[in-house]
Amino acid sequence: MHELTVAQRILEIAEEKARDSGLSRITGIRVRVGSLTTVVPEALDFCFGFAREDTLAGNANLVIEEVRAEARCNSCGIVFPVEQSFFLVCSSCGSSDTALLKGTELDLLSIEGEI
Amino acid sequence: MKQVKVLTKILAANDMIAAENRALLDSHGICCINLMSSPGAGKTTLLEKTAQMVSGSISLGAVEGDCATSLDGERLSAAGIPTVQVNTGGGCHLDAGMIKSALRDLDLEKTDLLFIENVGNLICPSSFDLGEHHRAVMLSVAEGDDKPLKYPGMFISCDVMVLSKTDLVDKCDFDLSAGKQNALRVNPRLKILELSSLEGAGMREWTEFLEKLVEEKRVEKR
Ligand SMILES: [Zn+2]
Repeated sequence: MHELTVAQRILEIAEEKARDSGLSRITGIRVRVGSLTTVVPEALDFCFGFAREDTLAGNANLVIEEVRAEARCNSCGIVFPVEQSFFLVCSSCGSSDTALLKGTELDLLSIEGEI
Repeated sequence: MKQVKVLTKILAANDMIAAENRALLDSHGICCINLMSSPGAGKTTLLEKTAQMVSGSISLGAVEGDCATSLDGERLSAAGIPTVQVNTGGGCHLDAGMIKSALRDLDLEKTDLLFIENVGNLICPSSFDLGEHHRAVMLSVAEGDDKPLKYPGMFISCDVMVLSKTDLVDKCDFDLSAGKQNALRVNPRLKILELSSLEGAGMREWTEFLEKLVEEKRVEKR
């Protein structure tokens, strides 16, 4: 359950940012999770639910923006979705000279709260 | 109500410590491999055999991560590898902070190649940068040749795959070429090494590979 670690990190950063911005309470947190991170959004939401107790985000709502992985082919130039079974191989020309563009994000985007 | 834009990497604290670990290892010319697999793939046995084979040419060190017990750590120490045991207390992965403390207990001056034997798990460990130079995933033929497709996050994060227990391939429902193909579909850049720690097949290629990595680090430090 690395989602618990991730939820705790989210809360630590959110509390620090809330204090910096003079918020006394956090009501919402928005994060971005790429499909290659091995962080399962449902599990993260579940862990967040109990990790938030006794923090400034005691009742906060977690919004998870999911990002689907995409790669660019260096041979033919197309941008293609990275599917479950054909990961970094170009879906158009079959080249494996590809560069990952999206999918590894694990970011805290914003917090919302009351002063 | 106030909205504050933050835009911070959630694992930034981990990544910062990982970068410090990497810099510390670099300053000592140590090559570090983060070895990951399901439980029971044969990580500890591989390291024991590796120690026998490179004895006298490469000085090994190990950080042994387990949820509980120091059984594997004791095996590595008995094999002559200076080992620091890290228990995660139920946690499913090692993080950079744990490695930072473990590095304090190792004699870095006397280490050429450091193995981090991660907690047995094909999901969580891949999310955490520990400061290693290479990530190796071990897949045993006892597990199924579709593992790379089921756990792509792990296989995509690695640069090396060790296909282990090849002596058992006839007894297992594992198609060697399908296993390798599946891994390469997920990550065409994977270097694949096949071996049997017990019977020795492929072990020479493995230790030659390690010697090359160690030599690269030595040259880099000079
Ligand atoms: Zn292409």
